[in-house]
Amino acid sequence: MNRGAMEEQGQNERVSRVRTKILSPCSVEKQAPEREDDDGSSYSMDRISQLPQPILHHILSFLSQNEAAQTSLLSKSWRYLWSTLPNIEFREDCFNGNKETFLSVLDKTLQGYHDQKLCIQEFGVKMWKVDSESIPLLEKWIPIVTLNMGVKNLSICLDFLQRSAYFDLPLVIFEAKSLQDLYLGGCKLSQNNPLDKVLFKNLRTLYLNQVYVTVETFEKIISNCTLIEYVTLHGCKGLRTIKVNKLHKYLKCFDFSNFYGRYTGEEDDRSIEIDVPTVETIKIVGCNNWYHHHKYFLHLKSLYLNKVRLSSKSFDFFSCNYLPSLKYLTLSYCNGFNEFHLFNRSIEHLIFDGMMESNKASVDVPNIVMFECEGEIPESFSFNTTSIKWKSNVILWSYVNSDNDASSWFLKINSVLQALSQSEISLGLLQFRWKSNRLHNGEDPPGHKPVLVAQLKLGFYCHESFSFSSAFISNLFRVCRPRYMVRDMYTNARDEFETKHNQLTEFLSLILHRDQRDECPNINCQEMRHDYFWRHDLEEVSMEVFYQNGKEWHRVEGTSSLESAAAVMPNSPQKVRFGFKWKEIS
Amino acid sequence: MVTTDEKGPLTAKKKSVIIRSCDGDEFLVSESAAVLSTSLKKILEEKEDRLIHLSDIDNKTLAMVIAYLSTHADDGLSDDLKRSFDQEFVSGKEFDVLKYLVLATDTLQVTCLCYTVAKKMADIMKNKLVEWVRREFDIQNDYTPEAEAEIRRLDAWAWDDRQLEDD
Repeated sequence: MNRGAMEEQGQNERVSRVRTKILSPCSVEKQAPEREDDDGSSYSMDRISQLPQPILHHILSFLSQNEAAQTSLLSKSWRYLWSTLPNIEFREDCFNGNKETFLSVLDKTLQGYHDQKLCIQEFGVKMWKVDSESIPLLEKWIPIVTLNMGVKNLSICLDFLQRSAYFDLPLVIFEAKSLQDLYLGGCKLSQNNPLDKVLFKNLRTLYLNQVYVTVETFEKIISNCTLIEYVTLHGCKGLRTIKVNKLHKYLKCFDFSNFYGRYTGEEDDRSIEIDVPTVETIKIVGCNNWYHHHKYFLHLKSLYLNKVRLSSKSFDFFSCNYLPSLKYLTLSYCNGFNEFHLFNRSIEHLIFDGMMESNKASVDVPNIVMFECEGEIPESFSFNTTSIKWKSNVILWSYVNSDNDASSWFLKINSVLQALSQSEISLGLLQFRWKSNRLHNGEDPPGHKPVLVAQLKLGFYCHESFSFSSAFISNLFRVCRPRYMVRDMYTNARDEFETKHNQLTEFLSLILHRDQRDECPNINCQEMRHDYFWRHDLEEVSMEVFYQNGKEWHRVEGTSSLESAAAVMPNSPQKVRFGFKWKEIS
Repeated sequence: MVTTDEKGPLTAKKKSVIIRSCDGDEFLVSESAAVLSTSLKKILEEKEDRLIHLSDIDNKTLAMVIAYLSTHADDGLSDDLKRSFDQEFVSGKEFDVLKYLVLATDTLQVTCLCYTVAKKMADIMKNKLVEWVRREFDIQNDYTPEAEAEIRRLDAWAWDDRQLEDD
């Protein structure tokens, strides 16, 4: 049978099947058609084909192009179902077959839609290593799909072998009135061919990823899209000034990043102006000039700033006077300020990454739920809240060199923990390069008190000496009392058990069995009795392991060393932790 | 039995609706749950009657849809809990059950559930040989061997070698 004859037959099949559908979408009040599943009546020929076409299309839309195409072999009624789907996505990464086949399938499939005058609601194409063969095909079909097939959601994502190459997007697509969501990657909105008509007024989503676009072209587009809700600009070249203003009163989310996959190399002099008082989410990565003439952003819920230049004054703007709906605030590696005061009643999640030693931070967030910070220990740190149940996650680095006194560093940790002592604290200590002789046990300063910590994570280098480990633990327990201690954030537990060099873990396992320590050749008993003041507060130490795909920690009972613990375990554990039970700190 | 309280204090009796299946059984549903279905919402806006007769949805299916609507209308549940409810809702269900569910959600216009169920149905078909799907859903192969070979030849890209061997 030739293809033409089969197509004709397929068309007839389709028509007859549409007639036999047992339900129409708006048949709530309609009399129920009889189901005659038991005998071979005309429309209940099998368990799935009787579903109406829109539902079958819906189901097929979750399959890959290959899988959807395979359904054509099920039976005649399925022959053309996949090739009439209202949403199609050609993804080279999910396609099995070479580029040539990919392009010919794309061409043939779209020709089929074109010949039958079918509509496409969503069209997506994603290609790797775009070459000169692919370009003419894209140039041919993109305008047809966009202008003649009524596409609402258009996604063109191209990746070129050559990093500086772009696809010169036919600008005629900007005349597509039906377009609602536009996703572009690796495209160029050419300047040579100036944009004179922008007809889509219904655009809701504009997503540009590694797109070359001039300021004029962008302004032309954005000024026509007054219904726009989501603007995402990642790694766009040429776009030095970005302005969204009160024209865009439906804007919900603005997301800018100067880096995505490749650097644009235009980080410093770019300026962003957002003057949409109704915006709900702002995310900016890498920008030195962020402006807004409006003071009040009454709907802003989430503000994420990464590598953005701020000043101490910016923190006035972050206050509840101007941002009364702000729930999530993330400041990550922002610069331009040392001292700051943040007061906001609505903030529930606060993340402050890239803290500097020179920072003087004063935070007043009455309704905090989660506070996270990472970086150096700030010069001063105060934290106020009236929240009753909240958590904090603190990750501190140290590059303490031989000139610094490590003991004072521990006291600084204590001051941060004191400020957060009303929360359930998770503390992580990272990146140590210390000499053990810099760790000694000084006297506690007056008013000093160890803080209870729910979880302590230690993520530092594995080959510490034994004396370093014991001195480190003593210093640590001087400033905090962990309920649980996880050895390392990055190694797996099996390595822990098998690496003899892992002195800290070995040391901790020895604490497990204080009674036997005299027999242990590794410990100088005299030294241990003298230094381990914290032993008196410690009621119990236990070791627990976590298996892959497990749901909870399992306590390892009755073992005296890590090796013997490993021997009694049924499987290889994924994680290991130590539990400490402390006497009440008075 | 229709109360006249309009979103009153907590003590006020919540509005409810009676939905009757095609088998004639009646279900009492809170209005807040019912309006999650676009179709039911339209009906409730148009008429005063608190009894809705669904002539093409059976008892079993309707009970499941109502369980879904009630869960999603519960303000006390977090979005995460609702999501995991959705996952459990479709897992382990027979294909026929899903089929009637997808029809019912399409009729009642419960977009989220329709999406979840359709996706689950696609997951069942994913990575399966044509023969398996035919067998599983009693699809009669009405192609001649020649026509079948022709389709395979035309869309050769859609089949990888492994499956050709298995067939």
